[in-house]
Amino acid sequence: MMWWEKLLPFSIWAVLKGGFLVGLGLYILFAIVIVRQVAMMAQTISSSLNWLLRLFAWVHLLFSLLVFVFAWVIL
Amino acid sequence: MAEKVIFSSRKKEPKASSVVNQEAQKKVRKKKSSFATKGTRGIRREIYRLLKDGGEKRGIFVPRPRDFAFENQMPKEKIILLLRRHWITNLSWLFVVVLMSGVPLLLKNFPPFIFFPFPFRLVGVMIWYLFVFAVFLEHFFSWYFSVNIITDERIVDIDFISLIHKRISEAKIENIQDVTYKMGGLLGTVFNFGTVYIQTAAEKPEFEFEKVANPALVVKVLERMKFEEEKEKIEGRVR
Repeated sequence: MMWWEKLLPFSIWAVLKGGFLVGLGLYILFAIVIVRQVAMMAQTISSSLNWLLRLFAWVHLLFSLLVFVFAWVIL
Repeated sequence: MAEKVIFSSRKKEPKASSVVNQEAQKKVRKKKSSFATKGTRGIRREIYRLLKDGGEKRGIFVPRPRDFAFENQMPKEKIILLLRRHWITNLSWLFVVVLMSGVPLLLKNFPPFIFFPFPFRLVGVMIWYLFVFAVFLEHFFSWYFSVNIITDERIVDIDFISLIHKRISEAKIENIQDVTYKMGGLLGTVFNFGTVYIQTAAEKPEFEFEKVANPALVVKVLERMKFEEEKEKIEGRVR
């Protein structure tokens, strides 16, 4: 325990964990918006590579969910 | 004594001068079939030949793209050319993304990061790379989905300014009044890309095909398309 941790009535790391989780929660919302927007873009322009671009967006969303769960567990 | 005259029953051979005339007429007919006097089919064939000779540049200059369609495309409307910004214009943000990827490696031994426990540093790095991935995706999607399309009836400019802003402009080929292009700078000259400016009589008076490959050829194609539309009007085949 660091010297400044003893001075505080609460755990700074718990607050930081809360901050990380709130930030990640907002980021997951942003990732959902990206998935939706890519679907809309793919409707505007349909090409043979659209499935790959949608996959990128979904992988990004999945990655952000995994990081959220990882942060919840490990912090 | 008078000489006997023998009449031949052979057919008279054509005069040399009429053969020369026929050859000359053939040459004149060949000369006359230039671009200006071709029918619409001939003009279209010439456009396709120009595009074929110009060469396809994967993803950024695609003549007659297969497996491609856009919103509001009419059932019989054919796409003549699909354009995107030259790939070299992506180098600036790609460089930034690469730099951003290296930040955790540079800062791992510097305060305040060294005071954080390992789990926090690990999650922090993961969040940073998530953010870098998002920046990459945003720029890539912006580049990929922002296209300029020339069809047999109109020009379409689709711009995705960011992930949430979209702008689609279109104008009929017959409303095109003037087409020019601007090419400059070291990269533009070396990689042959520039901006094509199209003045129209449509609601949007000027279109810009920004930083497209082979702008001179794009201008040529648009001029031929305009001429083809005028010919179609005269022939009464306007759709």
